[in-house]
Amino acid sequence: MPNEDYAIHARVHQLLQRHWIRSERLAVTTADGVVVLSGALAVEPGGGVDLKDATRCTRFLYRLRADVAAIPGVQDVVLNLEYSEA
Amino acid sequence: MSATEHRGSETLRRGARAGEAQGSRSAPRGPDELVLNGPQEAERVLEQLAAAQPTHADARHRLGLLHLSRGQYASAQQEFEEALGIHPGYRAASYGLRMAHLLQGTLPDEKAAVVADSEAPREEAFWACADDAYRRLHRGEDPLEAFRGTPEAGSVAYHHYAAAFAALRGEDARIGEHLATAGQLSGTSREICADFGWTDAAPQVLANELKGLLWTPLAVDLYAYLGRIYARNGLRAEALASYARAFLVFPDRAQHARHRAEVAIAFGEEEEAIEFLTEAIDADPTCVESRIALGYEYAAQGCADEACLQFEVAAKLAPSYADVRYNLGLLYMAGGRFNEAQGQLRHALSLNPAYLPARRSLVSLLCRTGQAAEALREGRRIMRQGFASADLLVQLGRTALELDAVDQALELLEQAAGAGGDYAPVHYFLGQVYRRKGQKRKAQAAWRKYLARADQWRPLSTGGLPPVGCAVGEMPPAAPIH
Repeated sequence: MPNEDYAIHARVHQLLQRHWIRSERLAVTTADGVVVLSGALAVEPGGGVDLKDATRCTRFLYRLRADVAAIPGVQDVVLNLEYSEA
Repeated sequence: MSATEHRGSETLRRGARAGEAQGSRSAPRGPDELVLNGPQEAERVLEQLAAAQPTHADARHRLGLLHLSRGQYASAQQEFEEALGIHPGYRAASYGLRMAHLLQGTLPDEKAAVVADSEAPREEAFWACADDAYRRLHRGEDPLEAFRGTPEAGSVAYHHYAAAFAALRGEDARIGEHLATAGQLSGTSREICADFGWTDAAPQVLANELKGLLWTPLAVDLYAYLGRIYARNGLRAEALASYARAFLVFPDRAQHARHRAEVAIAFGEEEEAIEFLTEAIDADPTCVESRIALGYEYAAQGCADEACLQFEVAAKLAPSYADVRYNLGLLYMAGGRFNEAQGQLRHALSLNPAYLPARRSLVSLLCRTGQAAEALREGRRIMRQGFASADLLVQLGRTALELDAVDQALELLEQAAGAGGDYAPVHYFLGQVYRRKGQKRKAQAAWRKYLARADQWRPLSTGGLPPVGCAVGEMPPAAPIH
């Protein structure tokens, strides 16, 4: 399984799509296996994930972080996000 | 037909049977069958969005389309008027408003003609024909006369609309004829009609299905939106059926393949995603979004050459897309083409100087190629942007150490420890700095922290620069720890 930054970066993008996260105002930085997600977090409407609810939002972020961390080659995941309306 | 296509067809049939008007039902999944009324869910979400963001014209426009599709013309008219109140130049909403008037039969004669200018996209030109066709239909004339002499006459779209108008006029015999011709012109059209189970054997069923759709190119947006809602809720069959409806009301093979790829990506079907994106590019080689999406799919599978090719074409088609340059930079780096990688990353930054990912990777590249002073300068610029992750600070600290700027290295690494105390490499390199400064006890403590946090010991030689003070692959000295 490839673990170069380009492959990790692409996998993170796939993951964002699968979580229906809007990527317009989100920056994905991948350098030396460390993935940093920064910017505004917004999900596509209509999927039952209400990010305005703090508990659900926290659960969602834990899952997102775990999914990114599970990508082969990822050394660390840093989330620096703020909630945004879709 | 491939196994994939067969599976798609089967699920599409199931989705189609469920019907749009009453909402759709997915295949049973365990004890509780998951049921979602797509249009109802769309209405809920759009109402919520429009209430939260009163200037969201798109939400109003989509609500207008949703009402149109349900035959609620007065409500539709109101939504389109609100969308136009927010954004008076919103062309789709103005077409939607005309459509609401047309379907109510309230469009004044003096507003009869829509003329799309020669620069208008194909949808608008087609809308002008459809507009005329609806007016002819209301006057009891042959709606198909509206297409005579236009570039769309005889096209797949023409035959879909001809079938729909035949259904609306009760000419059931002609429905199958037009759909068959459309099928001869387009394999996608043929597949979709077959997947919906539309055959001449039951012309009345066919007529009812066609009457249930909103026949305007504008409706592509609605059906695609519903498709995303279904996919987002895990309803693959319903999503595919909704995207098929989008194709029927305005056939665009490239767009349909992109929609199918979207479903495949959402459901983690990587091979199918590549297959559909390749088809989308085959149908429209100039579509940048398809190129980028295919580039990502190949890259995710480690197919660097194929990914490079797609991103290179995308860069030619859209020279101002910074993220395409960034991806090319990463791919070139992986291939050891450092000068080209640096060129692409700097190009991305020239397009968007605040583009953090490109600058971060540039720092990494500069470190890897031994340009320590430049790396440090670029790193400082990132920190001035308010970004300081532990990994960046460690890399800069290592770089400072490489330049014998021990105090600067210490400052950066201590900052890294504050930013991410659990990031094990921070403590390893802090140990290196303390050793350089002759602070043996502090070095021991730092390395103990490193060993406590690291999953397993490994030489920290990744990222280009060898660990300062020891050769590549060398273990931090064991003696001081004990």
